[in-house]
Amino acid sequence: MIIPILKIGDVLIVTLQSELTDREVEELSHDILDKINKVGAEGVIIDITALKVVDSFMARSLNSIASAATLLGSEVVVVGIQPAVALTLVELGLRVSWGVKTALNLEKGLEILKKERA
Amino acid sequence: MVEQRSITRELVLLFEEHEKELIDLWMTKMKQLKLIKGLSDDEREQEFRNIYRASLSAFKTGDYSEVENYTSKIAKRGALQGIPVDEILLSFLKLRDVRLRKLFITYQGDLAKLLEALDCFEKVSNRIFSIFVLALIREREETIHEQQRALLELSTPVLQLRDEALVVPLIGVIDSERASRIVEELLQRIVETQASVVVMDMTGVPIIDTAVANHILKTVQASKLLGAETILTGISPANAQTIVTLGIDLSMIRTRSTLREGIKLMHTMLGLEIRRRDE
Amino acid sequence: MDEQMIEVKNDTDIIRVRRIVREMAVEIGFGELDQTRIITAISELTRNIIVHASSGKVLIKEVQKTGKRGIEITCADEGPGIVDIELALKDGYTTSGGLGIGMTGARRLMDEFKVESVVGSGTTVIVKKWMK
Repeated sequence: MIIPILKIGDVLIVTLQSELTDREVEELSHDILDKINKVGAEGVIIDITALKVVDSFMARSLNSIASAATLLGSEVVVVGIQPAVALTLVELGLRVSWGVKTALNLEKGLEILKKERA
Repeated sequence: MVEQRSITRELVLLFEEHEKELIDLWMTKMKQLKLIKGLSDDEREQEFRNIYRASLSAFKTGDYSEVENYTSKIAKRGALQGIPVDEILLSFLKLRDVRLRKLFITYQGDLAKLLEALDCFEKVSNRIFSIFVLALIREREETIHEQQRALLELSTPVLQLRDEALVVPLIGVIDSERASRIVEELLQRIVETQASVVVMDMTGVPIIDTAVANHILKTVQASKLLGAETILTGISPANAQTIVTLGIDLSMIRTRSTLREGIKLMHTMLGLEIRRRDE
Repeated sequence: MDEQMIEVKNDTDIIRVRRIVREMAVEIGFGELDQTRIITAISELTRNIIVHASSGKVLIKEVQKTGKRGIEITCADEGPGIVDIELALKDGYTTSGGLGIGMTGARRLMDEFKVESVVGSGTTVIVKKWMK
């Protein structure tokens, strides 16, 4: 599966449409970091509205993408986490170790990125 | 055993043959007593015939499932239309009386037979009566349970204070069922209102123990994943002491002593400033 | 469809297990939140099988207890087994470089959790969730 990475201004937007296998997640991580580097994106929004499940592997991958992106001078915001997914992630044990910025939706995510750069 | 079966058959036959007569008599009695006034005559007759036949099938087959189905239906309708429990019970007892009289009349010349008939009749009739009472109690219990649930929801309001800001005034003891309800409700409201700040006021929470603190922590973290920051207010000095003693780490949460201070902080976080118009 | 056995050996099977578990959870009547908890827990346990034992089986079935309906999922493998179960159930403990919350997380998300492991012959984890 090829997941499109859109570029709008200085921001990359990645929308996950369906559940991904571990390998697809790894490929996606690679692609995002590659693209950040190529276009010099200042921010990345990963929209996971369509995901009904986020397990620890996915959570860890999002965290890794965010940490690596920071090293490349780019800020990652994960948007669209469903309420049931949010609660499950917390119960699963996702605590301080997860340092990813989050926002309710795409619009709010863009606001955060704008504020960060202001 | 064979004897008893034959008397049962006799009773069933008797009640079947005199169905119209007995139902009419039953209806007349009910009218005199002014019971079950909510139904029209047609409805009532239909209803009575159903009860009559359902109970007769219990006599006939020894199978009470039809009676059980029917009684729970009546109990539900009774609760729905506000028919008092005593009226429902009296109606049933009246049917018993009407049939009992028929037995006395039929077997008046034969005491032995009468006693035998009563043995059979009482057994079935009492059983049906207890099924009736149980169904009514069960219905009441369900109503109470529903009301408790409604009360539980009322006791965990999530209020929208302004665009982007919610207030959750917690009052009373927080057990884990209530805590789950609160967090689910809050997350839903965050999505609906797109709130970015939540003020959770604990002034009305008497005791904060490890379980409550963990629930709060969970709520704060889940809200954060949806992009909303939480401000915790109104923790009493005694509760603050307990939290420290228990070694619960709430340091990652923004706290303010009072709801008023919490709302001030909320304004700051939203980038708002409140001033008198003439200043 | 009240019992189903799935062989798992790679990461696409994790997605398949999730889908089948979801179908059964929906059929039993679990709400959205509990569905998410169950599926997430099973996702963790299935990945454990693949990471630590490379292959195994997942058995999903509907169960009943005093009138309550529930779901029971058994994850079994013939991998190396767990040397110290208590340690494996500690938050943050990991042998695979993960977040170390797979097993403990799955336990928190479910109502019942049982693990049996024999070093050298495999691990079986049985979890249950009941309808409220």
